[in-house]
Amino acid sequence: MSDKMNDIINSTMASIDGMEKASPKPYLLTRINAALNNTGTETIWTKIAFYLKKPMVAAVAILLVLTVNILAINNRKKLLEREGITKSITPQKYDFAINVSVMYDTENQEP
Amino acid sequence: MNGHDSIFMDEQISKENFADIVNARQQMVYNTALGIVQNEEDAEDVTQEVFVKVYEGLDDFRRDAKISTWIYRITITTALDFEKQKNRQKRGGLLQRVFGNREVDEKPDFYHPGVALDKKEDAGVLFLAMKKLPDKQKTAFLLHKVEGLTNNEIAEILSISLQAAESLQVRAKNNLRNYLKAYYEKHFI
Repeated sequence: MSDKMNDIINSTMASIDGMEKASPKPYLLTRINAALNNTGTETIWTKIAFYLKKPMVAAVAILLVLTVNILAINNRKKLLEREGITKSITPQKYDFAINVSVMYDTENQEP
Repeated sequence: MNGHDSIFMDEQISKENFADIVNARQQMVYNTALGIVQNEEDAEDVTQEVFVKVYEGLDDFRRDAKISTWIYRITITTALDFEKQKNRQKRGGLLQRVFGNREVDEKPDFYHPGVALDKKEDAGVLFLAMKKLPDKQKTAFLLHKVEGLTNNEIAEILSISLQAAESLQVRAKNNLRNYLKAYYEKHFI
């Protein structure tokens, strides 16, 4: 390492020697007290909101909504297919019903 | 430690004296936090969080430990956690790491308010270099340089032996010098 480089590095390493202390903004205690008051008033809703804000939870929630929707669509398809089968059976039922003789037919046999 | 502990007798360390504790320790907490997070607003947030933890933990505070040691530990843990969380949030860094943007390409973005004007640029580069240090080395170096603590006090705070604290200082200085060499070779030569 050259002398010049050494000097630069030494000077940088010594740059914070004897530096003054920084101070926080005024009214720190007031802000701390406010924060302490807020921690006491945490409700169940703020806790829920805290968890919902997490990206992982949001991603799982979206996945869940998509899954439920896909299941609902599939179920509806199956339901429609089944309804299609029952519709084709129903006319036979009616035909059978039409062919059954009613009380009127048996009691009034004479023209 | 820094004469602060003599301010408090054991019976005075209680929630009733919390305001006094804040007044006596706020600069210590703020400066330690500022050295780690390297941002004044963030250091304010960390300071606030530290004192909330101090208040909540005062009942469980073990009287055999010094209060300053205890508060230093809380500050260091809180500031390092804050820093990690912040880095995680701004990290599109995987791509940056793969496609260049080497560490020495970064420019100083933090200028400590307590540094003399003629040393601000150099101090900015040194703080940038400190960001690259492992947590323990960074903490030991900061406590020594910024807070002016001895290796004995640093060892107590970090719960390590005196030799380990001295070793951390040496390794921190070596790593800083290596980083500074690479930085100045890139930017000035």
